[in-house]
Amino acid sequence: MSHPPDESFRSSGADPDEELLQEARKAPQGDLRAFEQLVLRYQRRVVANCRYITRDRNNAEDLAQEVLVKAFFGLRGFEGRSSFVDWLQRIKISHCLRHVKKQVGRSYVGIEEADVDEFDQLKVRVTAEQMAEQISDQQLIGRVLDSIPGTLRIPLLLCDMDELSYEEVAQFLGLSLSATKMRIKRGREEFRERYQKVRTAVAK
Amino acid sequence: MSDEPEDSEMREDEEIDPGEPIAALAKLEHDTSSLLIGRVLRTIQRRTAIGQLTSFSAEAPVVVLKEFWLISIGQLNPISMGKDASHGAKTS
Repeated sequence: MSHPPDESFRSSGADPDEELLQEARKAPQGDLRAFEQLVLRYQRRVVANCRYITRDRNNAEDLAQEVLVKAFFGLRGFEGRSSFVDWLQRIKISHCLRHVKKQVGRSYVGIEEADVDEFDQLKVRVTAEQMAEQISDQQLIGRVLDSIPGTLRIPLLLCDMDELSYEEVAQFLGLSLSATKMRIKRGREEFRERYQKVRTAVAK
Repeated sequence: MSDEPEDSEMREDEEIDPGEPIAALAKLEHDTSSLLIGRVLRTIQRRTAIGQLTSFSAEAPVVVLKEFWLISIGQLNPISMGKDASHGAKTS
């Protein structure tokens, strides 16, 4: 079973970035206007990916910067076999996974690995902050994601945020298809359960 | 017979249903600082400049040697060069 396609541009066939991409590739050296437009279009998404895949708040923008610079210098080699956003996504995922491996100091991960579960801290933090400020939905999602162990969070993000197929996720993570599906399933369950609890806590 | 393990693995893959995707994640974005775009562009410009400088450093000795070689040939063969020049002048 492959991941169901969404209604966004990924499934629409034509690449909405084609025009800007052509301009960026044809631009004389030093003219970065077209590429700048592409960066402005995707930077928030790239930063979000870097932030939640690596769970590294301090370096998310630095990672995003490296990804975007890498994409610029790879533009000439981009053959257009996939859309620009898919291509950018691959650069981003590889870069983030390399960063995660460096962080962990070993290659990635068994499903039984016990990550630090921040969920209890999360509940306390939400209740405390609830009194002080209104937490946006985006922040809640971010905090729930931060509380999920990397073994489940990363496959979940690659599948539901980057909208890769199960096969692609398995390939990126070097896992079997069944292990990948199992992690995604557990990741979704964890996310829903924790998100629901946090929402309830905030609503009280 | 030999296909049995593969078949069972495939069946196992099909049996796991990971459920519905989490829609909120598909739209998830993160606020960026206004400085990010500037940092990206500056890094690109800096690396481009370094690349140009490096390629110039690599090419410059070759160009200088080539010019030196052509001048040396010109110095060693002034007569033929002169002949060529006068022949060129006549034909024109």
